[in-house]
Order: sequence, then structure tokens, then C-alpha cells
Amino acid sequence: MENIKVDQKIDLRGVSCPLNFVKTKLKLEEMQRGQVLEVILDDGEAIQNVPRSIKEEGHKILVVARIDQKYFRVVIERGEES
Amino acid sequence: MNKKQKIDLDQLKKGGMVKLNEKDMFSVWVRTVCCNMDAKKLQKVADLAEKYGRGYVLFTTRQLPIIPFVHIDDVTTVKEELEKVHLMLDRCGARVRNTDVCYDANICSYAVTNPISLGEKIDQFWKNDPGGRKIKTSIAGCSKQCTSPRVLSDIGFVGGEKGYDVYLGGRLGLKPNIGSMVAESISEEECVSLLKNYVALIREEKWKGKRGADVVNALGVPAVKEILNKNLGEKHSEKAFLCDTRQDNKIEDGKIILRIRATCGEVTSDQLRKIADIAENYGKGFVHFVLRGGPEIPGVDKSKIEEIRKKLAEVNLEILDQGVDNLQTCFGAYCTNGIMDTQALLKKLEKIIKKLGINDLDIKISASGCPNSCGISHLSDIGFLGVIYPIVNKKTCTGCEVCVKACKVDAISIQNKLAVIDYNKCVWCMDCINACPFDAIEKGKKGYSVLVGGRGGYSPNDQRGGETKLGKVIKEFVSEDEALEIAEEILKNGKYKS
Ligand code: SF4
Ligand code: SF4
Ligand code: SF4
Repeated sequence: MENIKVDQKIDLRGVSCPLNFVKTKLKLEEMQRGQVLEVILDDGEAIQNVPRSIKEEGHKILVVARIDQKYFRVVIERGEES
Repeated sequence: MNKKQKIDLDQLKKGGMVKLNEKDMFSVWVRTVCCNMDAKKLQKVADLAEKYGRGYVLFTTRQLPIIPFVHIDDVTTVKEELEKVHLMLDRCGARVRNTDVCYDANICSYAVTNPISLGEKIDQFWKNDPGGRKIKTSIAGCSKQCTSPRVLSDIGFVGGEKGYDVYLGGRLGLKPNIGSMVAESISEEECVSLLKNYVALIREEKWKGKRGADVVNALGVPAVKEILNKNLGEKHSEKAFLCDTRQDNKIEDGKIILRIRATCGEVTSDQLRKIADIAENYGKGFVHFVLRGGPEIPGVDKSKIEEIRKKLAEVNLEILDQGVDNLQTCFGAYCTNGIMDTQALLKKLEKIIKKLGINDLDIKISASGCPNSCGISHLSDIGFLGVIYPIVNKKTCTGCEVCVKACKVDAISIQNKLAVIDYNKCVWCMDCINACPFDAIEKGKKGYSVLVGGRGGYSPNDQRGGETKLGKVIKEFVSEDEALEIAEEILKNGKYKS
């Protein structure tokens, strides 16, 4: 595994779009700039949309990795205050 | 923090709001019943667009009013305000969509069945059954097919002398498909049974994320027909709710449906209030949302047209009785998927059409910001699609697979931990560019694809004749100027010579 210290985690398995995005966004807003959030997302719609929208919010995607057939792990660094 | 807590998570789950390409901006989709809305409610929509949006409302192919540019923090307030006049947000995404209908048979003189009556039954059916998959339905009362049910719906109902013909598998977008006929001349009750059978089928786990077109392609027409036609005679106990714009009497002689031009579907709040006012004073008190985006006011007396024309002119509106049919677009420049600014294109084209003095309302022109074709570019005499050429940056690609998932035509594969695009399959949609979390797919050239010869339905007086067909691409990656030149040439000569 890559050497990244994760500060917070949320599990969004089974949470559909765009709710998964909003939950991720709200979580990031609670965090400090530079902190790292790990999100577990469904394959399919979620993995196509959430990283993209989060990136648009000004956060940085560090890792996207498949966990298994059904889920992905996404590691995000909290960006500038928006 | 308080502000943030106002975001209505439940509403997000239900849909009715779509993110736009500006930060924190959403479009709010307001539900219509039978694609009509009464004047008082419209006034409210106009007011809300002014207060919480940018002072205008969009009339789109979805046949309902959309308020663009509502800030995420205001969505809940807008929803509550709408509820005060008994309006609610529409559903979208992987959910059942509004049923699109044309007119009550007592209003449209072409109608041979009563689409409103079937619409009411289907609406009632959805009330008791959430669907749980993306399912689009539309109904047309005659073979003119103003709602284009054969292409725009998973299940499309087309009225004929003896009942409804039913088509399964219509779809626009990246893999457009004309629906196949699965039933002929069936009754309203039977239509509901058929829909029920379809819902049961599409809910099976293996069809997750799939549409009617996928089902037809996988199973073949005869097999699907058999499944959908099971027990059609079954009685439905639900009492259909009644649409408040239902007409009990045949429309009086001399009364017409007044069509209004709304280029790009944009109607300002002032214009919308005027339209509502005219519907109340000269029409039946409601406005109809059509596929081509121009607002329609049914039940207007012919003798009042000039009077109404003057009133509309006060807010810079025109009656749609000259020129070409309403110039239609999707969200175009405002959409998160938009590649080209279709609003700019069509506004320029409108000037060219005026200059040429073309007068043929049968000519249909539309533009979509990307190949998803939400602006029904495939169903127009001249259609435009924004397109872009994706290029993988080998240095930044991490091989994460997100683009593979995002590509709806399976044009991307991972080879040696790098994304590789098969340009023979690519349809130039930008999904992969948008989806890549590492910006590793770069934007190459962009422009318009121009399509010609598309047709949404059969038009009895039309010399071009023919049935529903999808437009064919004649040019790819042309600039806005070139696209306008091509359109001008087609409009002048009736065809494109190259
Ligand atoms: S056609 Fe493309 S740009 Fe237009 S609304 Fe659909 S997805 Fe957006
Ligand atoms: S999404 Fe981006 S980084 Fe991931 S495989 Fe595709 S091009 Fe590479
Ligand atoms: S490769 Fe990219 S641009 Fe081409 S069709 Fe797939 S997602 Fe669209």
C-alpha cells in the first residue's frame, strides 16, 4: 500500500448519487486543509461521479484503487477553503 | 455550518435537481402532470426563478419547467416554496421519469386516442410503484408522435384508431435506438399491465443499470414480446387520479393551440408571467410543455391572435407561426458534460434564418452540448452535437480504471497499467476526460458533429414523409462558423453538397 496517513474514513457503500458526493463534500468541509479522507465507493455510477465532483470542488485525489469486484477506495486530500 | 445543514439530503436522494457546471449551482426540475401547468403555479415558478435563480426558466425536451442556477443552499427553500402551491420536484437519474404526453384528445384535433387518460393511469401506477430503475415513458395520441415515443422512451405508446401500439427500447444518447414494436392496438388497461410486466422484468438484478434498448438487444423482440404480453387482461383496482387539466368537452370551433417561440427554451420570469397571464385570460388557464421547447397555450380563440401577439411583443415574445420550428437545445453551455456552447450557436443561426426569410415550420433544428443528445439532435432535420477528442497522457495516467467505467461505449481498456482508447469506438463524449481523477485524459480538438435527416414522428402533410428516423452524421469536428455555414447551405438548397 502507498504511504499515506489517513485522518478520516467514510464508508459510502450502497449510497447512491448524488448523496454520496454530498456526504463526501460535507465530511471534507469539517476537516482541515491538507488532511486526508478515505472513502469507500461502489463500482459503477459512484466511482464515475464522486472523484470528479470532488476534484471540481478543489480537493486533490491521491489514490483510486479497486478493492474487489464491487468497491473502490478513494483517498482525497482536503483542498483550499471553499 | 448551519447553512450547510440546510441541504436536503432526502431530496437529493429523490432527485429533481441536477448539478450545473458552476460551483454549487443546481438546476431545479419542477414536476408537471401530463406536461401541463396551471397559470398560478407558473407565476410561482417565474417568481422563484427571479428570486433564487437567474431570472429565467428553461423549457426543455423533458417537458417540464427547469429553474437553472439555484445555489445548493437555496434548493430546500425553493422546494418548500413550490410545495406551497402544490408543486414538487421531478425525479431524475436512476429513477422513473415523468410520463411525457402530448394533449388531451379534446384539445388536439389530430388525437385518435386520449393520451391524458392513459397518462393518468400510468401516473397512478407509478404512485404505487417506485420503479427503481431509469424508466422513461411517453405517450402520443396519433402517428404524428409529437412526444417521439419511439425514440425517447423505454416504453412508448403511440395512439392508433384501435388503441395503442407499444414500442420498447427507444433511447437517444451515445447509443441511440429506435424502439421495437412489442404490442399492437391495445387498450389503456392493457398498456398499464404491459408496463407492469416491464417493471418486473427490468427489476431483475441482471438488468441493473440497463435500459429497455439493452433488454431488446439481449433477448430479441419475440422473447421480450412474450414476457411483456403476459396477462394483459388483468384488472387494475387502482382508481386513476384525474389530471386537473383534463378537458371534458371537445374544444370549441375556432379555438387553437397557440405556440410561442422560445429559442433555446429560455423564457425570462417576466415572459413567463405574461404567458401565464395569457393562458388565464385567453386560454384554458394552463400552459403545455412540448418536446420542442416552445410554450403552448391551448384553447385560444383565433380571432384574438393579433391582440395576443401585441401583448407578447411587450415582453419580446413571438408567436411560433412563421420561420422554422422552435430552435431547441439541451443545457448546452450550462451542463457539466457540455462541450460546445449550443445556445450561442442557435442564437446565431436564428439570425441567419431570419435573414434568409425561411418560412417552414416543419423544419426542425436542434443542438446538444455533447453526444448525449439531450437536445434531440438525432430527431431533427438538422442536428448538432458538441464533440471532443480525448488523448491519454501516459505520464499522469495511473491505470485506475475510472475512465473504463465511465466510457459508455466500451472504448477504453487498461493495457500495461495505462488507459488506451480505441478511436474506432469512441463517440467523442468527454465522459472519460471528466471522470479521470488525475486529469490524465487531455482535451484534443473539439467542435460540432452535424447530423441531417432525423425525424421524431410521422407528419401527414410532410413531403419528406417517412417514419421515425435517426439523423446521420455528415460532418465531424467542425467549428461553430463551419456548422453555421453548413446549416445555411442546407436551408438554402434543401441539402448539403460536399
Ligand atoms: S446533451 Fe450533453 S451537454 Fe446537453 S444536457 Fe445532455 S449531457 Fe448535458
Ligand atoms: S481514469 Fe485517468 S488515471 Fe485512471 S486509468 Fe483512466 S486515464 Fe488513467
Ligand atoms: S473514450 Fe472517452 S470520449 Fe470516447 S466514447 Fe469513451 S468516454 Fe467518450
